[in-house]
Amino acid sequence: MDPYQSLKQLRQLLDSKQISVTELCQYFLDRIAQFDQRTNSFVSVEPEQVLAEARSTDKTIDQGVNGQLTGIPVAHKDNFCVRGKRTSCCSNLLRTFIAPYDATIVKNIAKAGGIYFGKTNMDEFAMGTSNQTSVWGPVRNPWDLSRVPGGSSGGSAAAVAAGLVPVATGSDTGGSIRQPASFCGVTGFKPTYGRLSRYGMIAFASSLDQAGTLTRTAQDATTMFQILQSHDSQDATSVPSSINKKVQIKHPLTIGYSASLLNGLDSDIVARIEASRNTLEQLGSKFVDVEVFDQDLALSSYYIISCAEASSNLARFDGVRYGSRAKSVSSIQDLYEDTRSHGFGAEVKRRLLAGTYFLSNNSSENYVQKAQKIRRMVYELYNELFQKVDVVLAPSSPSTAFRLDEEHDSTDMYRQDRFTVPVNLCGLPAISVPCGLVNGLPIGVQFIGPQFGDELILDLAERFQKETSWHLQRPKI
Amino acid sequence: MAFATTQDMNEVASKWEAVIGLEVHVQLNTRTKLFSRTRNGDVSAAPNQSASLVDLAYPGTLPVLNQTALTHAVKFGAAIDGSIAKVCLFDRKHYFYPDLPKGYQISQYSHPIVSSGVFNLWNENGQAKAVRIRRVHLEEDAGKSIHDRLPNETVLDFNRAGTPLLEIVTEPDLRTPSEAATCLRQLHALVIWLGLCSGNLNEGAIRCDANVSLRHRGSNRYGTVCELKNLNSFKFLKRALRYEIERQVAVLSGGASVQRETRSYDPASGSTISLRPKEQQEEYRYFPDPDLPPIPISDEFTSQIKTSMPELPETVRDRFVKVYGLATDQAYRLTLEKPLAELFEATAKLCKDPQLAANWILGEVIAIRKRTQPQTPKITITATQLAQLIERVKDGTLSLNTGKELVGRLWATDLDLDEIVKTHDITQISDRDQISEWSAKVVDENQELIPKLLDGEEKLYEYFIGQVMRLSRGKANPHLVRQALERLVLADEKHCSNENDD
Amino acid sequence: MNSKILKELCARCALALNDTENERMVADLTLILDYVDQIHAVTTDGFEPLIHPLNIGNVRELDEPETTRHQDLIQMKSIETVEDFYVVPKVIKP
Repeated sequence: MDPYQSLKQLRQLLDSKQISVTELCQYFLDRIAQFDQRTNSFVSVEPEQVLAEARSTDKTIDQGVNGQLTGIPVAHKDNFCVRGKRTSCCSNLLRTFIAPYDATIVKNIAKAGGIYFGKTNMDEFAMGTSNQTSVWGPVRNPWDLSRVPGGSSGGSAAAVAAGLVPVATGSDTGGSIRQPASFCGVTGFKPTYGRLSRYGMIAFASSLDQAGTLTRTAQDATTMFQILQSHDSQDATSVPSSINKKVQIKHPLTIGYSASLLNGLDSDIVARIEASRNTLEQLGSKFVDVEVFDQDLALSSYYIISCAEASSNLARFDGVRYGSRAKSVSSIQDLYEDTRSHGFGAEVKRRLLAGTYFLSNNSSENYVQKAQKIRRMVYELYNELFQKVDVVLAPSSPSTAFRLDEEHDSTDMYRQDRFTVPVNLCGLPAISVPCGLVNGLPIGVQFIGPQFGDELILDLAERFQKETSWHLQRPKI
Repeated sequence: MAFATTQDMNEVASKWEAVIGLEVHVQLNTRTKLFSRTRNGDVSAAPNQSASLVDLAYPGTLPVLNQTALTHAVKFGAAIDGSIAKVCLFDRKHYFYPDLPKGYQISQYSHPIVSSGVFNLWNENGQAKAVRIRRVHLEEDAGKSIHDRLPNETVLDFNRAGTPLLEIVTEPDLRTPSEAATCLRQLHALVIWLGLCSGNLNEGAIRCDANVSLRHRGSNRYGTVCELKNLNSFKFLKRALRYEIERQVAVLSGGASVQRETRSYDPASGSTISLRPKEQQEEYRYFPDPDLPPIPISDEFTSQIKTSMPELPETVRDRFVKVYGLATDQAYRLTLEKPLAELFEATAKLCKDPQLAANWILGEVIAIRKRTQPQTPKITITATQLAQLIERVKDGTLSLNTGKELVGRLWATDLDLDEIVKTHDITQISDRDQISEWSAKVVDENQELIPKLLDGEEKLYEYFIGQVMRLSRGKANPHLVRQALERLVLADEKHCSNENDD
Repeated sequence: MNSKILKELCARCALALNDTENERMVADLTLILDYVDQIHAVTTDGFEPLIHPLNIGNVRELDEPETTRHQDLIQMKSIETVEDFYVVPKVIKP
C-alpha cells in the first residue's frame, strides 16, 4: 500500500475491492499512530469512531452506494465545526468546545461519502505563518522536523505531505493554505471568495477568509473543489448558483509575470520560479511582463483590515455562552478579562489589540478606511491586469521552511505573506503547486486567476503537474 | 425639586423652552428574526428556547438578512415620505455586555435605510405639526438580562436576541412633554397601521429614549442635551420629561450648567437618575459588517412597496371629514387604528348613517373591547352585524339598551342579529296598553313616593322606569314607559287635589 | 503607542495583561504601527473603500421559521445554566 496515492487511484482501489474502506482507514490510522508524534499535525483523531464509520461505509458500498469520496479519509482543519467533535481553533479558549453543528464544507464532504478522519493542527484562530501558536504545540515539517510547516493550515499541509491522509481542508485569509503548501511540498488551492461556504468555518477576517484544500495533486484539488463548492443560503457572501461568471478553460494562456517580484529572494528559489516559467512556456503559454502592486503597501492594508475584522469577530468569545470560562470570578468584567486573557495566546492578543487600535475613534478614518482604499487600488490594478493576461505567476512564499527556533519579530513574520495577501484582498483564486526543492526543502509557485477563474488555474496546475514531478516528491519521515 | 405652584410653572414656561427629540425602537413583527431563521417574538417560549446557534453567536455562524424586515423598513420610509437609501448596508457597533452575544450589534450607522422624512402630528382639532425624522435604520435587538432573579448573579435569556428593530430618530422638533407623548402615540399607531409591529408595549414592542435640552424662549441655539433611557410607555415618557425639564430649569436657574449625560427614568420614584456622563460614553468602533455585503434597493423594489401600501391614516382622516361629514376629533379617533377605520367605513356604507356608525364604534365597540380583551386590539364584530344593529335600534325594533347589550352578544361570534332577536325574544315592546298596565302596577306599588315625584325629584323617574323595565324583562320601549308614567302621575295629582278639595 | 494607550485598548478588548506582557506588547505594537504607517504616505484620492471583495450579497427571501431545534443541538454545552438561563456574575445595572 502506497500512502501517496491520488483520489483517483484510491477510488479505483476501493471500487475494484482491492481494499476495503476499513482496511484503508486502518492503514492511515496506523500511519498517524506511527508518524504523527513527530509532526503533531493532528489535534484529534478518534480511531474507534473512524473505524466504525469505515465499517458501515463498507456495507453501503456493498449495497451499491457510491459517492465521489465514499470511503476516502478527509481531515479538517480545526477551525471547521464538526458536530459532536471538539473544534478548538487550537486556542485555549475553545479547548473544550464541542461544535453542535457541521460546517457546510464538512457537510459537503460527508455528502460525497468522505470519512471524517480528525482535526488538523493550526495557528491559533488561523493567525500565523508557522503553526507555532497552537495551544496543542507546534507542527513540525515532515521534510525536516526541526522546521516549521508554515501556517496557519500547517497541520493539514504536514499531514498530506507525510502521507497521513490523502486530503485535508484548510482556510486561507492571507496565504494560510498556499504558504504551508509551499513549505510542505503539497498542492494548496484557495478558490475565489464566495465559491466555498464560510458557514461553520470559525472566522478570522470575514472579508478575506476562504476555505480550500491541501492535496497531493492539482487533479485532487479539482475533484475536491467540485465537491466543496455550493451555494449556501446561510452565508450572505456565498455566490448564488444563478451567477455564472466562470472563466472558460482555455490553453495556451497569456501569463503575467513580474521579474521585480523576485528581487531579494534566494537565487535558488528564483531559479525554481524561472524554471516553472520555462515549463509553462514549453506548454505554449506566453509570458507578459506586468507591474504588480507595492507589496509592503498591500501587506499593510491587509494587516489593518484583517486585524480590525479579527478584533470584531473574536469579541463573541466572552465566556458567557460556550467555550472555556474563567472560574470563580466576582464581576462580569473579571469574567471577560480572565476568560479572554487566559484563553487567547500572545499572537491573537497582539492582533486583537492592533485591530482595536485601528478601529478606534481617532484612527478608524486614518487606518481602516485608508487601508480599504488601498485595497481598492490593488483590486483595480488586478482587474486591469486580467484584461491583459489570463493568469499571473508569482512565488508562493519568499523562502523555504524556516527553523522552529529562529527568532522573528512580528512584522518579519508578517512579511512571509507578501506574495499571497493580494489574492485575498481581491477575492481571487490561487493555487500553489510544488516547483522544486531547495537544499532538500520544497518550494512552491503560485498561479493566480481572475475572480471565478478557479477552473482555469486548476487546469493550468494539472497541465503543469503533467510536465513536472515535484508534487510526487516525498519527505523521508 | 418639583415646582409648588402653577404660577411657578407658568413663569418657567414663559422663560424657558424645552427642545425634545425622540429615539423610538420598534420591534418588527416579521415571522423570523433579522439575521436568522429563528421564530420571532415567540413570547411563550421558555428561556433560551427561541435562540438559535446564530442568535447565540456560536463560532462559525453567519448572519443573512431577512428581506421582509427590509421591506418593512422601506414601507415605513415611504409612509413618512423619507428618502430611501439605494443600498442596504450594515455596520457593527461594538461593546461588551452579557446579553449582547457577538460583542457587537449589527446596526446601520453610516447608511440608514431612510433619511429625512416628515411625520405629521395631529391633534383632535385636526391641526398638524410636522416633526422631521432624521433617520430610520434597521438593527438587531439584544437578549435580556434579568438582575433580580438570583441574589448574586444576573441571568440571561437570549430569546429576544436578533429580533428586528426599526430605530426611528426624530429631529429635536418637539417642545412639550405632551407633544412628545403624542408623537410616540401616533408613531405607535402608524407602525401598527402599516402592519409592521404588534404594538404591544408590555412586551417591549416599542421602546423610547428621549433627548431633552432647554433654551431661552426665542433663542435659536440648542442647550446641553441629556439623554433619557427606558421610557417605555406614553405615561412614563411624559412624566420623565416633566421631571427632567424641571430638573434642568432648577440647574440653569441656579446659575449652574447642565451636564451632558445619559439618564435613566425610574418609574418608582418618578425621577431621572444619572447613568454616565457623555465623555465616558463607550466608543463603539463602528465599521461595515464584512459578513453582510450591500444589498441594492432598486427603484422598482421601492415603488412596488409604495404601490402596495395601505392608505395612510391622514388620508383616511381627511376623507372621513370630507366624505362622511364627521367631526375632526371623531375622524382622528377612528383613524388611530386601521381596524377601527375600516369598520367605520364599511358600517357607514351599510347602514347609510355615518354619524351613528361613528358614535356606536367610538362608544360601545371600544368600550366592549376594553372590557373583554384589554390586551389585544382586535375588533371582533363585523360591519354587517354592527350596521344591522344600528338599523334595528333606529327603526325601534330594539331598545337602545338592548342594542348596546347585543354588541357584547355579537362580539367574537358570527351570529346573525335577526336570528338572535328572533330566538331570544328581545324585540322591543311598544304596545302602549301593555306598557300602561306595567306602569300602573309600579305606580300602585310605590304610592308613598308619588309626592316626592311631584315635588320635582326628577331622579325618581329613573327608578320608576327601571321598575317597569324589570317587569318587561328589559323589553319595554323606555321612551313610551316614561310617557305612560308621566300620564299616570299626573292623573294621580289630579286625584289628590280633588280629594283635598273635598 | 505607549502603556496608557495600550491600557485603553485592553479595556476595549476586555483583555488584562501583566507588566511583562504590557512592556512586550507596547514594543510589538510600536513595530507593527511603524510598519503599517507607510499607508499614510500614499495618495488614495478617488478610490472608494473596498469592503467586500465580491459585489454579491444574498438575502433570505423566505420569512419562514426553521424547524431545527437548536437547543437540542446545544445539549452539549459546557457552560453552567440555571433553569434554562445562562448565568453571569451580577451585572450592576448600567
